[in-house]
Order: sequence, then C-alpha cells, then structure tokens
Amino acid sequence: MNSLDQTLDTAAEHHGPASGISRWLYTTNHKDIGTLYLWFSFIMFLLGGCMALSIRAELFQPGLQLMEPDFFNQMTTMHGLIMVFGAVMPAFVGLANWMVPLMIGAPDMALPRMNNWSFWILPFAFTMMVSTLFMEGGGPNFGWTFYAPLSTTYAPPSVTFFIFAVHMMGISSIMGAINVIATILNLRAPGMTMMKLPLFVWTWLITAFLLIAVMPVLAGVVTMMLMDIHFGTSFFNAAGGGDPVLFQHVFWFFGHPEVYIMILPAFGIVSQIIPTFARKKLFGYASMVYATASIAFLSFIVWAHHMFTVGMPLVGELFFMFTTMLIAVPTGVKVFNWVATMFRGSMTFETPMLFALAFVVLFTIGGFSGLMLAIAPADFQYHDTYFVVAHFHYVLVPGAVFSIVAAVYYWIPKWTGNMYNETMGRWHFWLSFIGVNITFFPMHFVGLAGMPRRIPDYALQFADFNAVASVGAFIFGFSQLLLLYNVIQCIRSKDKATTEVWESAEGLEWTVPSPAPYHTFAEPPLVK
Amino acid sequence: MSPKPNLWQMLCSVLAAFFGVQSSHNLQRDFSSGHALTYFLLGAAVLVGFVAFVIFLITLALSLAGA
Amino acid sequence: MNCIAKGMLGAGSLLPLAVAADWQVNLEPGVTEISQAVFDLHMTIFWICVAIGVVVFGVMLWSIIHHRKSRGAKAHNFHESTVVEITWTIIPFFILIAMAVPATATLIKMYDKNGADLDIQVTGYQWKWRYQYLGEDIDFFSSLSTPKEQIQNQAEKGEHYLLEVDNPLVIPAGKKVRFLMTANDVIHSWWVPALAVKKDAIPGFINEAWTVVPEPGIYRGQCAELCGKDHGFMPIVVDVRSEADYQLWLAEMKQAKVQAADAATKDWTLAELMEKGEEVYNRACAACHQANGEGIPGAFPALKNSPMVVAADPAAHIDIVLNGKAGTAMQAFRDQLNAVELAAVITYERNAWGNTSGDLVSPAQISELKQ
Repeated sequence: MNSLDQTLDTAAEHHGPASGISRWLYTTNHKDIGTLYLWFSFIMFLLGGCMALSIRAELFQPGLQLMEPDFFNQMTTMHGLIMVFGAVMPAFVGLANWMVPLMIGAPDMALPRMNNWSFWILPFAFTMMVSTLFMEGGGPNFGWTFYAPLSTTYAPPSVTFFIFAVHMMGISSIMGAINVIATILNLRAPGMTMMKLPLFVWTWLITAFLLIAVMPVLAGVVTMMLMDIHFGTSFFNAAGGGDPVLFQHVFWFFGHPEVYIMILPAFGIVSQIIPTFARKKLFGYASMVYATASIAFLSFIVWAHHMFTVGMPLVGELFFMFTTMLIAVPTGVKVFNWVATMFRGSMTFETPMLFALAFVVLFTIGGFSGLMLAIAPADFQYHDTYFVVAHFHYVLVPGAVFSIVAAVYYWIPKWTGNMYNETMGRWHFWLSFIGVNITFFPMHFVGLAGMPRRIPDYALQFADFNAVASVGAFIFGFSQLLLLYNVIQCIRSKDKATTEVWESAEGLEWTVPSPAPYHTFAEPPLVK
Repeated sequence: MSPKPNLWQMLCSVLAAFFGVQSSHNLQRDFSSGHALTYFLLGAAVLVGFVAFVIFLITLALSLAGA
Repeated sequence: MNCIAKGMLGAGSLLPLAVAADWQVNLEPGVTEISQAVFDLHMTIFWICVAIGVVVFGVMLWSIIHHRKSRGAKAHNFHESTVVEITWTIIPFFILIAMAVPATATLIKMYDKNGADLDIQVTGYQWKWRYQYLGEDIDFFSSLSTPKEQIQNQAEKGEHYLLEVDNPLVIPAGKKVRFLMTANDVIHSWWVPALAVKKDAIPGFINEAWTVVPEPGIYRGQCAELCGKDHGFMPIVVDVRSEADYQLWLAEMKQAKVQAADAATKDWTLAELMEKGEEVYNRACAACHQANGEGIPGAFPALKNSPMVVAADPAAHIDIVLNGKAGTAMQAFRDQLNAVELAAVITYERNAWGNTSGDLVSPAQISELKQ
C-alpha cells in the first residue's frame, strides 16, 4: 500500500495526462478509461437506436415498405446485441470506472493495465460484429437470443464472426468485473468498511460476481455453436443425437443473470440519486444490500421461465413459476424503500432526480408485466408476443437506460467541472419520458391482441398501435440527440460547478474538487 | 466491536438475504466480525435447501391435485 | 437515416390509422374452457398489479406533491424500520401465494393430455405447417395464401391479411384433439390465441398440447418462434366444424387424393407442365430461390444458369428436390408436393429464366421414384 501511494504521489506531481491520441490509447487512468467507455457506449446507443428506428419505420404500417424480411431480422438481432453488449453494459462499466475509485477513496482501479485492455477490446469486437452486415449472406439474423439450430445449421456464414465477437466481449466483461471486485475489496480508504459502501458500489460488487459467474457460460454456449458449425459435433443438432433445447437452457442460464447484470447497477445509481434530492438518508440501507444479494441468488434458479413453451414437464414449469414469482419480493423491497426515502423528505427535481423518479415508476410497471409473465399458464398467451417486447423494454429503456442518463446528469459536473444546462436537461427528460411511453406502452396492447414479436409485417388489426409506437420511437430516438448536445454544452460551459455540486449529496466523490483532478486520493482520505 | 456471530445468527442473516430485509445493526455485525467464506458456503447450502423445498412443495401440490 | 426519413414521409400519406380501426387492448377470452381460465388468471393478476401500483405510486405522488422543498418541507430523519420492512415483504409474499394457487390448478389442467379423440401431428417447416391426421391417412401442408402483391403494397390488403392459408387445419367441434408438435428444420411455435395453445415445435422432439373447441368457427394464429426469413408469414388457421361436416371433409380429402394419383398417369405436354410449374414454383420455391430464380447470394443459391439445373441429366436435380440437402435450408419436397407438382416444378426450373435444357420431366417418372 505504502509504495503504491508513493508511486502515485510522484506520478501526480510529474505527469498530467499525455497529449494527443496516445493519451487515450495507452491510458491506465480510471477517469480516462471511464470516459472512453461512456463515449463508446453512447456511440453504440446511437447505432443500435438507428437500427431500432429502421425497425419501427418498417413496422409503421402493414406491408413491406423499406426492407426485406431477412434484413429486418438482421436489424432486430443487431439492435438487441448492440444495445445489451455495446450500450448498456459498457455504460455501467464506464460509470464504475469513473465512480467506484472516487466513492471508496481509491487512487485508481486495482488493475489499471488490464483496465485499458478490457476497454480496447470492445471497439474491435463491435467492428467485427457490425462488419458482418456487409458480408455475403448478411449478418446474424437469428435474434439476440440466437436459438439453435437457426443460429447453427441454418445460419449465414458470418455467424463465425459473431461468435468470435461474443468471445471478445465476454473477455472484456470478465476482466472489467475482476477489476471492479479487486478494487472494491482491496483499495477502500481506511475506515471505508463494507457496510459504509455507497449502494452503487455494493450493487456493482454483486454485479461483478454475477458477470464472472455467467460470462463463461455464454462463452461456452457460443463455443458449442462453433463446434457444431465447423467441427462436426452435434450439441444442438437433433439429427446427430443432440438437443436444441439444451441450447436454450445454457443460454438462459447465462441470460437471466445477464438481465440482472443490466439492472442491479441501475438500482445502485437510483439509490444514490434519490437520497440526494430528497435530502434524506436512504431508507433501509441494509435491506437494499440484502435485497440485491437475494436477487442475485434467485437469478440463478429462474432461467427456464424464458422457456415455458418448450414443453418442460409439469414439475419443471411449476418450479420455475414459483421461484420467478418470488423475485417480486426483494424487488418490491427495493421499490418500497425508494418510495419510503422520498416520503417526508424535502425534494427538488433537477434532471437526475426526474430521470430517477421516472425510473422508479416505469421500472415498476415493467416489474408488474414481469410478474404477469411469471404465471406460466398466462405466459402461454404472452410468450414471444409484443407483450414480452413491451415488458423488457420497460425494464431496460426507462429502467437501465434512464438510470444511466440520470447518472450522467448527476455526476457530469464532477467530471467536467461545469454545470449542465438545467432547462435543456428538463427538455431532454420530458421528451424522453413521453417518447418512451408512446413507444412501448402500446406494445402491451398489440401483444395481448396477439401480435408475435420479430415479424416484419403484421395483420391489419395491429396497424393502429404500431403506427403510434413508431411515432413514439422517433420522438424518443431524436430526443437523445439532446443528451449529446447537453454533454457537449456542459464540457464547454463557463458555469463552474462547486466541489459539492448538489446541496445535500453525500459521499467521497463530492469531497474532491470539480472537475475531479487527473489523480485523486493519492493520499487516502480518512472515513469516519 | 460486536461479538462474533454464532451459526444461528449467521443462518438468520443468510435467510434475511434471501428475503431481502435486514437491519443495519445485524449488517454491521456480519461485516465487522463475520467471515465472508462462511456466508458464501451457508448461502449456497441454503440455496440448495430452498430448491429442495420448492420441489417438495410442487410434489405436494401435485399429489393434492391428483395429477 | 435519409432514406428512412423519406420512407416515413411516403408512409405518412397512407395513414394506417385510416385503413383499419381496431384498438384491441386486452387479451381475448378465447373459446375454450382453458382459454377462459387463462383469461381469468390474466385479469386477476392484472388487477392485483393495478392495486399495488395505485398504493405505491399514490404514496410516491403524495410525497412528490407535499414533501417538496419548494413547499418548505423539511426532511425527516427516519431511515430504518425492520418492522415496516418485514410487513411489506410478508404482504406481497401472501399475495403471491394467493396467485400461485389458481395458476397451479390451471397449469395442471392444461397438462392433462389423457383421453384424446383425435391425434394430429403438427410439423413446422420453414415456412409452412404440415398436418398429419394419425390413423386417417390424411397429410397436407398449410401455407400462407395472401398474395405477394398485397405484401408488396401493390394491391389492397384483404380482411385476413397474413392470417389466411391455402389448407386450414380442420378439426371437429366438441372433441378432444391432441396435437403432437415437432419440426423439420428449426424451432417453430404453434400458437392459436383463441384456444390458448402455444407450444414449441422442436426438431427431434415431440411436444404435446390439446384443445376442445365447443363451437364451430374459424380461429387464426401465427408461428410465435423466430424461424428465419419468413417467420412472419406462416400463419395458422383452424377451421372447427361440426362432427357431420368434419366427416364430410374427411371423405372429400380422400377423394381428392385418388384424383391426384390419376392425374399422374396421364401424359402432360411441356406447356402444361410449365404453366403448372410456375404456379407451384411461386408457392413452394420462390420464398428462397426468388421468383426470378436468382436466389439470394450467400443464403440461397440461384437456379438460373445453375449447372445442376441445366445439366443434360436431370437425375441430380430431381434428387435434390425430392430429398433435400442435409444441413441446409433445402427441404425434401417428396411428401410436400404430389407427383404432378414435382414434375411440373422441376420442368419449369429447367426451362425458365433462360435455362434451356428443353427437356420434360414427366409425372410418371416422378411417381416411380416416389414409390
């Protein structure tokens, strides 16, 4: 510890950031790498968003107008993969990079060189994945869940590139997770005990364990695909004695914890923001930590609720139905605690708080539809319809994405040293809020009315709500350009932020100057 | 600091983690004097027990329904 | 982006809102006892969610309105209460148990596959369904009958756009019909909302589902599992008939089969075969190989100028059409088409789009191979 401090001390005195492109290529600074992650994720968000808009444009009215069905399938697949692996996950890693060391009083991440590597893998992985769209036969067209044998025997040749891209993303995620765990467990400032950790740090710690547990499973399943495609094995090929359902079990054993990987850090962010703007300590801190642990545990024994229609035996259906319903309990604890934090507080409604409040309401709506989906007999009607699409977009867009946007507005004064423009922030919020609901709420209706997901064209009775959803999607999509504007405006702004930034924000990150210097906590702070 | 938690208290903490509700007093005790590995092992054991319990419930429900 | 924007403008002039006015927002109760039970479950859980939502969002809204700084609210300092927290954990827990009981009962009922009056094997193909009536010697394929022009917006869309097929599944009313689901290539999912039956059709597996439809009627559904390019274009139509009408239909089907066998024995001219072949081609082959025979590079090979198709000896060509090609999307059409259709479509492929083999594959030749 001592020698590390000294090294960093001398580094802080003699070296600022390097200049030019080499600063970004060779950097081992957690703030630089956090920034890289966040910009990368934003670019991916816009790219995945363009694909979403092309999907919504095609679905604006019945009939095929803009694209062939095969290209439509490539768009839905790429949209899902890019948003999950390219936008949401890297954004959370970026936030962890920036904020975890600042929140626990550490000088940097524990493994800075690995940190650099885990970021720089990503642009290559995604370049490779997106390049498949231009290959003969087109890109992956089997949905982001890539069920075999559609993704093996019947896949376009580019599937091999997709498999390697997934491997690279997985390596990046695992390294990022190891780094977060090593940092939180080893680099806490004196006095920063585990039970004083801010919730964002707690949720990330648990998320990192989930990542390490399940990313190898994903790597395993794509490797089995690779073997089936190129080396003559028959893991998923019934004709060779394999089992297509095995794919789904392995995939969802990864996939269900994966959805919590995308939502637990969001819980952490919201648990930071709401107390700040309610000017009141978070209600039930201990329960929040335990509920996160509980959700993480349960996430490993519910996976087959994604597969209620594959023909599991009755005992299996009941098991996964009961365990899935139980997840509502710890999730409910979280929502109740947020509301109790607001109750009898002294609230103000700056942009981060607006996004956090919208998160609580809209995520809860997504939770309700999740509870409905857990009821296996009813799931037979909901499964693979737009009701499911509405459900997971409610938990991922006004859920995970809103929490990331809230985090950006909340911490950007600390990153840039300047305040963002509050009026523009509100415009961004209200347009996003209205747009997101116009887009995704009608999807509940068409789903219940019987519209399957992943279809490029639909029967006439679904036309009206699809048109509405498409209009909403364009409002939501284009209003995200306001986020870009607000961030750039904030970087160039002359409106200096104070050290504390917010009136009653608590935590070590608000004790360093704004903008946070290139090297912080070279001397560990003392936490009382 | 608080005394080392006994097995029963640790089990209670693990069960609390399954339910998602815990008091900060107990949290303090767990993290200041407990050992992480014991909680992991206990957690895994309770998870197995929980799975077995759900399976038992299902068999019970099915036999009651005569299916 | 630009082209999307233009597309939006073009689409805007047609305003789908004006075309069809149907704002269905809820699940349909369906027509069977099971679908009614599922609908009741759905409504129960929905209202429970609404009630919880009203309470939670109500408290939240109250706080937002009354406990705001601009109204001079001062923050209180409570931040823990194990009793309150345990209470709001226990209550949802009991609500969940109350929900799990009827759900379990319904699920047990759905899994009771005993005592079926009729067994039908349902096989998913890319992108059509095959229905085999076990013990009845009835076996046919059911594919989308909506004309291409409607999908391409060159003709007005019909009432049952994308939900109509050439040969619907016909079942008798009031009888317990058991479906044995499987698939030939990738995973499909057979779904008819009005019957509350959705079951995956998986290659190498046989899944079971059943239904009893009390009243005759026509019920429509779609494939629910992404199964490739034309996943959105493989609907299901179930035509439920009274017992008498069902028997009549059985007799007609058997009659038609005899007639088709007779047709294979007569002599066909090249022109006749070409005409029939074009019709069959557009129905069974054009989805992949395209109407112009050029295929889709990288995915589906071209037939135009294909060495196999223009070769002097048609044996290889006939073999691939009859038996498919393992490990690719090329299906075996041996059972999907009758001898006349097979002969016609092969002849058509060998003489269309500038392919000039000039030869004729006769139905008799195919009949022999099919034995």
